[in-house]
Amino acid sequence: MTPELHGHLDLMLLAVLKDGPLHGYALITELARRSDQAFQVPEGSVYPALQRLERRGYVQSQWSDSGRRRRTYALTAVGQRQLATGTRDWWQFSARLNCVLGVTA
Amino acid sequence: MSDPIDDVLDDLFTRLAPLGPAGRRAYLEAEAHLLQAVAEDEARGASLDAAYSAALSRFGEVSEYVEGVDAVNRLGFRALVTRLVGDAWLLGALAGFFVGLAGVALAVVRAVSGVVLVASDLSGTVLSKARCAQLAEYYPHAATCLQASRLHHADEIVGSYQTLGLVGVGGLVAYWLARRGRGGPLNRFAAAAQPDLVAVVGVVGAGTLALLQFLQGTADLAVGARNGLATSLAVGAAAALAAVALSPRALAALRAPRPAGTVER
Repeated sequence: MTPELHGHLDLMLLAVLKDGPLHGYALITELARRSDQAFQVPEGSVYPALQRLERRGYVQSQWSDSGRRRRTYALTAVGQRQLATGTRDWWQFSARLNCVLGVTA
Repeated sequence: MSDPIDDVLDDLFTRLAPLGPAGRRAYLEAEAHLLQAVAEDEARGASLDAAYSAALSRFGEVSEYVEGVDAVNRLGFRALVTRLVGDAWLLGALAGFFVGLAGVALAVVRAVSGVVLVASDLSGTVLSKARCAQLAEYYPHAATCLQASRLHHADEIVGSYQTLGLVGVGGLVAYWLARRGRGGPLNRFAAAAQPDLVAVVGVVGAGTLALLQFLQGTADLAVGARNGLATSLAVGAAAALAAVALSPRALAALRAPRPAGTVER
């Protein structure tokens, strides 16, 4: 995984699920598409991350069977709030970093 | 002859098997993922060998996948405490609610038939003069010291049961809000709670309590003791109601265990 992505995978997964339930493969594809293929995470690392998010109550999952049996993940209400909090924290962090670096928007 | 995907899946199967249901789920997800990755690469024109190679390369190391799944499913001390607090919260709130129902029933009994059926003070009980004077201060209309004591105990029982009921309702409302992400720092406890487990424990606990209370009430009736009879029966009835209300969920949980890691709303 790109070092810059460490610590942000959970938030990115929640963000992708905001638009609706997805199974793991579709989620990974969407993550790559949104980053214009720049964020290439080891695909196998996404599933433990999804299980972790599920343990924390941020997502819920169920088996779906449309040709191939897959587990579909959906954002919970708690996950939506976590996404909002994480997004706000990211904005604050990046704004402060921009100030330090002298970057103007 | 096996293909590279089969080899990886065999390896995954062996390594994930010790993790039980969580390992089985992780295996099925990896299998579905790799097969889809190969199929899509082939559909884009890649040769089968190239598709195998690309899919496995993008998936990453098998050992990292297994370690990741293992780390998530290893229940740490903090997670265990969070889960226990969530379970205790839900169980306590439910218990409070049903005790509150018993309190309402006892308030009705007290209003209709007096305090003897609610308070357990036996006829012939002798209280100290100081205690009688204290009780007379609060219950000046009581004809006797024993009557004042019964009024006091009936108030205590009804009041405390109804207070517990209000606490229970508050706890259930807070739990409902926290499960929907509106409980602030309490959200994680509600999210970690296991309603299925709570239902099973609730049915066993409430069922046992109901049985004991009804036995106690029956024994009291057999010897003609009426003191506190309504309290035993009201608690028993509330406990029986709780057991009946929770039993569908408990039975469903026992009959059809969910796949590991399923989170319920």
